[in-house]
Amino acid sequence: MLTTARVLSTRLLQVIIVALVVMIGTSLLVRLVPGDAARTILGDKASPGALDALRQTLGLDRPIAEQIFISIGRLVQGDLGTSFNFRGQTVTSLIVPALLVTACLAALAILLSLLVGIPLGLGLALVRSSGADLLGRLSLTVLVALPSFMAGLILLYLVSIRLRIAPAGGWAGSWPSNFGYIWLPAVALSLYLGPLIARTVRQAALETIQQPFVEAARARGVSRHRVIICHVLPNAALPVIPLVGFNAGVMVSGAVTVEAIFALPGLGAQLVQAMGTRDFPIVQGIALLTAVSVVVFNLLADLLNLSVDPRLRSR
Amino acid sequence: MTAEVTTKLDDEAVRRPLTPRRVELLVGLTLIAAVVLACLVVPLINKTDPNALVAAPLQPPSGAHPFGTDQVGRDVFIRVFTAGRVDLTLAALGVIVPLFLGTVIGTIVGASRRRAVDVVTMRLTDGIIAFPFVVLVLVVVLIVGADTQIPPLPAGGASILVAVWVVNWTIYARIARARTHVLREEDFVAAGRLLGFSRRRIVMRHLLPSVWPATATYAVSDALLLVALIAGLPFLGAGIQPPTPEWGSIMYEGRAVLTQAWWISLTTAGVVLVLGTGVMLTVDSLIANPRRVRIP
Amino acid sequence: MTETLLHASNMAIEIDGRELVSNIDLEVKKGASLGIVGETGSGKSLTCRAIAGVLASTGGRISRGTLTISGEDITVPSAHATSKLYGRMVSLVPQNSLSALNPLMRIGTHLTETIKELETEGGIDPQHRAVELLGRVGLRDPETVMRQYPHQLSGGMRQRVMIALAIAGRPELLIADEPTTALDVSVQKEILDVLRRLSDEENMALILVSHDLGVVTAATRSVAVMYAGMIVEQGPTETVLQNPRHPYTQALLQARPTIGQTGRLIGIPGAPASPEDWGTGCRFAPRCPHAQPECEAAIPTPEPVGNQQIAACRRVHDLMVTHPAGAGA
Repeated sequence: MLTTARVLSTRLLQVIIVALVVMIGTSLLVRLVPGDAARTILGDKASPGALDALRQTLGLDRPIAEQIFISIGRLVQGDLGTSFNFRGQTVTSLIVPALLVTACLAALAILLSLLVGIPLGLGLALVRSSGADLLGRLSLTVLVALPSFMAGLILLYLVSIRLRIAPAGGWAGSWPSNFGYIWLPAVALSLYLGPLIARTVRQAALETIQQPFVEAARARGVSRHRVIICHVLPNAALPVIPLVGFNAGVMVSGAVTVEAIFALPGLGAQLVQAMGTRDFPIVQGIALLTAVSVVVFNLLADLLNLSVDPRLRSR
Repeated sequence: MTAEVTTKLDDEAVRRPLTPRRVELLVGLTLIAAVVLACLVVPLINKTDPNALVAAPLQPPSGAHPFGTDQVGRDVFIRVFTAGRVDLTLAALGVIVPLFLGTVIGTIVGASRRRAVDVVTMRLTDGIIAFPFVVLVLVVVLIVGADTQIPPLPAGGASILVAVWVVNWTIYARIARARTHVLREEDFVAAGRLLGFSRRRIVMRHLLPSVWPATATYAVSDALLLVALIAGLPFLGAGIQPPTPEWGSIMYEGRAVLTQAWWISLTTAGVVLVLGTGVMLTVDSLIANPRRVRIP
Repeated sequence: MTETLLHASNMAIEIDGRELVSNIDLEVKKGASLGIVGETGSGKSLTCRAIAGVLASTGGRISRGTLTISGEDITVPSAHATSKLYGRMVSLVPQNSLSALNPLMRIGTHLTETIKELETEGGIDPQHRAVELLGRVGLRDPETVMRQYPHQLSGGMRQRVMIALAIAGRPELLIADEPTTALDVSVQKEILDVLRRLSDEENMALILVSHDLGVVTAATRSVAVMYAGMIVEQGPTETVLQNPRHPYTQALLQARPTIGQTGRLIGIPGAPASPEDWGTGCRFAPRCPHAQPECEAAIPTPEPVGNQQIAACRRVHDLMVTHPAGAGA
């Protein structure tokens, strides 16, 4: 039996674990790498000053326990460190605006996926012709097999370059013009989640239709239309909530790569730049932030599930 | 790193003759085999050096160069299938270790009646599963060094594998645990205990064999996710370093000239898509498909 | 002379090309009560699904013969929908009450949606009527039940809800499929009382399907015994139970244990055959103590054996043994 309190505490614990894993993981890893970690990260051409600065940031001059303690302390205060590349600017100030862009992209993609995926899945389960169902199912299979960034490439070519109905990447800088740049990447992302949702809903709907309560409703006079919308659909759509939660991490990975392809100023762009300049605090900061975001997203999914499914609540 | 996870396997599917499901399985396996074989055979037959300049740059597909040439004049066809070896090998390695590790750990945890063990493992794995994988790999790549080479792996491969191994075993553990929970209520486990088999024996000889199908099925789709991950890395500034050809880096280089030379990125994408479709069809054919009935 | 409500003539049901129910001849008059008795696999559930018009969910269809309600032909799958029979003319109380209710929907909503759908005269507040219906089936606190979800109710309460839902449209024929299975004995009696009372009050015909002879004895005036997809014996309940003429019915009655009985429990030897093993003759022959080689040759035709009783056995007239009916009939 779940309650809101239990769900909250579980996810809160998960946030802590996730943050700890990142901090401890990176602290361990930099010490386990043979040779000078700072040099490995910055490359051989780095200046001694830069190397020293990085060593200090990584806490290589301190024992590991102390290092972890300090980073956690900073983390709790919301301090993710300072960028290496952009002197003086905190990691937080650099990545939060990017996070918002990525969040918009992901949100739009999820919305599209739900709007198309759920009706499609239901439709395939109900369609009379099993040939149509097979065709639909195969198409969905191919789409799910397509990695998001490849979908992005293909769409970029077909829609932006060939058909010219979308810009080939870029950003407007202000809403609502940004929509013009974000819709195609969002479609690319939703080409994975949408079919995934459709498959799940189709499966769930087929199972639901065989449930006694569906034929029982018909037998007592409830119209076919109402049976589909009020009985089959809610039960078939229920698994979508944990499905989306489960795939939050995959979505973030996909979003970040798609952004890189479409040159959107989100976390993807930040990552590309940070990897290029070996800006360790930024990369670590993004890892932390995205991991925590995924947990928070899962928390929201849990709460939604709790409010929608009465079986989870009582007694 | 997850897509859908379902442990409902359909054992009947394997026994009957040419049902649609069988066909699906065969088609899926054929597609996978086609790509894998091509990656093995093409570089053996076609002795062109994937990194050599063989023709004018940016040539569209032709008889001599089925996938055209890239911006420096290399033959894309040979590059794609040489690259395939790299991607497939890394994916296989990236899956095998977590598969074994995760299945064993998950089965042991699932068989354990001690609540503490279960709770601790669950919290830990849940925490790790939440990670957006790509970002994690980048952190590791940055620390371990993008060019680090541990032969025979290509440059950059070691860091990817480390990141994958550390994180990916958790999902297998989860599947194994869930399956073990179901299995341990079965009569044959009780029978084993009554016959005096040791815990260890029950886990190894009785539980594990029934857990493998569930995790192995997931491993197949996981391999695909891994290929997608590896191929996506170059777009984020990591991944297998040139000059080793890799699907992702080919597509990345092709992105810059997408307008003039679509074939570089898109033929590669096509091959990956064929492989991916094969994987999905195979996995789908093994999972239970409910009957289609009408609403009265 | 009360009119015939339900008439099945040589009806057969098949699923995926396999005939699972054959040669069903049934007649139910207005206000009558019929029990259908049989083991699992006897085809009784399929038969009642066919009458209720929900064969589609099993992937089945009526493959032979005819089925009519009040003269309307309902052999075709879409007949119930087209003629608006669901809930109004015939209604079903399904087997498993927990899975027969939408887990995400409150009891009240189940009722009000049905009422709104079936209400011909306007001006009736669905909420009001719903509460009233719940009261009629004997639920003590209808308002509270309205707000609850299916999993919050006990088995007995859920079963009453199912009955309330089924009678919302005042059907002429109510089919109850195993209404008392999975309930405690005390609750069983209450449910049967509810069914009987409603049947009397509304002059509603009742078909009660069960594997439990006791249930059928208590609540029905005529009975049909099914085995392997066919009706082997039919007649007034008391007659059939006092004087069973078909070997299967006799064996069934003999197998019932009674308080005070000290002899061995007599079971029926063998196990019910699955459809693949059904021969061309009498399907009970492999297990019948009176079987002869001719029995397996052709399916026995139903023979009248006096007082509206019919038995489908070649040897029914030979076996004129007054069988001590299983004690406690």
